[in-house]
Amino acid sequence: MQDPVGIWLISQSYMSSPCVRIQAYCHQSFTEQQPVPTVAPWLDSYFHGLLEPFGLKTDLSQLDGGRNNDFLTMATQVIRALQANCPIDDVSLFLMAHQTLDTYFPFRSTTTLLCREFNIDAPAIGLTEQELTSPYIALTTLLAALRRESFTGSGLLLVLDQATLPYKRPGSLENNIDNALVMKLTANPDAKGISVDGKRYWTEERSRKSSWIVQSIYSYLDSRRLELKDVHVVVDDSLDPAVGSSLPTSPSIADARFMSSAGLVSTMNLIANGSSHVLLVHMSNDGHLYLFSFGGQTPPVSKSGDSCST
Amino acid sequence: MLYLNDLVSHVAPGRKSVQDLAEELLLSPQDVSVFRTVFGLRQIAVVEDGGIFELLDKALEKIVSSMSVDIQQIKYIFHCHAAPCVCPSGGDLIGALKKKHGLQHAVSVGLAQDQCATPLTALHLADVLLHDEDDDAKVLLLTGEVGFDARLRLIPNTTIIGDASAACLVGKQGDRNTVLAVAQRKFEHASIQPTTSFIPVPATSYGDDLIQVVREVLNQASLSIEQLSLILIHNVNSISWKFFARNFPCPIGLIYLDNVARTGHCFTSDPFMNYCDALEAGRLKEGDYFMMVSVGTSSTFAAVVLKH
Repeated sequence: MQDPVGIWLISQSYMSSPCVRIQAYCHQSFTEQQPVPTVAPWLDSYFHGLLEPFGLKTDLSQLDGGRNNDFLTMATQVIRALQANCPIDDVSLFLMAHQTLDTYFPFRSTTTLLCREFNIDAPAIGLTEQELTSPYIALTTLLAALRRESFTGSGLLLVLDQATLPYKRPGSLENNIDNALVMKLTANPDAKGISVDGKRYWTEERSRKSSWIVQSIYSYLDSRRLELKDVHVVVDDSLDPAVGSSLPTSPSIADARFMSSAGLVSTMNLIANGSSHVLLVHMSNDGHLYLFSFGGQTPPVSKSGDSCST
Repeated sequence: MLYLNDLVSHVAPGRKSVQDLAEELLLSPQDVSVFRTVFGLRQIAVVEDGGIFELLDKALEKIVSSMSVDIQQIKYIFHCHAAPCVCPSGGDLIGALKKKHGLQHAVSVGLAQDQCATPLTALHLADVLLHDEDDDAKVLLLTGEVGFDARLRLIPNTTIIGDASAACLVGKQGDRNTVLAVAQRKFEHASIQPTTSFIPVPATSYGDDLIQVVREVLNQASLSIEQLSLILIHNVNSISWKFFARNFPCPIGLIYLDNVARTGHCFTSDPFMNYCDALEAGRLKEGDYFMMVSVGTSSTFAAVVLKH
């Protein structure tokens, strides 16, 4: 039985100008312990061959105490919950992002199975292998797609991770939770929802100091006609703590139990609890800074907007 | 409009015959005979030294040394792979390669879930992201993975998989390989029931689905198959393409089958690898229309029509 963390249809209409909005959102954690799979590919040489080149060792004992919820099960439930509140028959691009690996045997496709289950007739692709950053690349892509004049329909972002893996994942936490998040995004000017916008920054490694990050934050907010005092800042594990101490008010730290969903889950929870503007800050392992603003008086972004400029 | 500006490929230098692989893949003498005589597979390209890092490194070396653009113009790197994961969380693959080749400024991400069709379906994401970039911006599609396990090396009754890599620069500007149309479909054969076994595409519908996607992309490009000079395929086997040629119909000579016997099916790299070899063999001339086609085992079919 899943433990719902949050499921709600976005009913707030913060603004009427054309921009990308989160029309519906659902997040669930899955705490029930599932039996350890007893058949391939879990308990055999496949994982050894996958892990060994990266200096990682198969450790099947990790499965015994884990919850063993798989991507397909979690995704099916969370999308079904979202669909109960908001139709998804107009989805034109479906992106699935994750940090932990999809443990199904090679040559199966979770996204294809989900498309068939939910009658999604749209390109559907998985983004992965960038640790916590994959969801932000996916969100950036969806924002870029939705702002295009030629794009019709909505976008679906699925972010999910399973904590139970047949190896000890570097950086994993004892309390990581199998969880899945889905949000439906739209650029339909008539749709209600929380506006979302984003921008990526990059600079040479030698220049990548906390002062540069803080400066980028101010620059981004300025371009959105926002002031730092008016936004609730969320940062995740990726950020140098010095950044937080350089800000006038302490930022919220994303709930790391949720792995790559953490930043988005914490952001949406803040909005659900009354925050009108949230700024989500993430730094990728390879030094790209992602800033996303949610809700509030975010100004309209033109169809040729700059969410991905460097 | 998208262009494939530069393409390079690297085929793992090792070769094993189907017979050589029989013990590892648990192939009976009858299986070996079918793979050789019916499916047209002879030699399979295999990595003998190193692994996926070295395989991708070779393709990156080639593209970086031969490409006609400034490396700073590469804004995104998509590592398109067939398996859902080739670099588990906690490992680093593309980050190290980016550092080696001076590509840290580019955003990189692994793309998967459409299996061997992923590099063709990735063109959609490239198109989306390039729209917001400068006119000279590029997306680098990188393909390549290693069949390190017997169940990666063999798709029963279908193909044997080899090791290769490729790199393809995609841009909004270019002087060759204009992308005229892209079609992709996920057909109805996949099951929602969780299972750990491989779900094959039913052979009876595979051919029809393939024809449907090829017709769709030709319609989008307002071309007939007679106007194509070449079809660059996935190298799964030759028999399925012979059926396609008979049923579409089109001349079998239109389909580039040479690498089926030489390398086997090399995951996501086939269409790009075949492009490079066909170009070297003089099979593509300026102005020729051609097609790339690939199919993922989860029933994702993708086809692209281009003008050379």
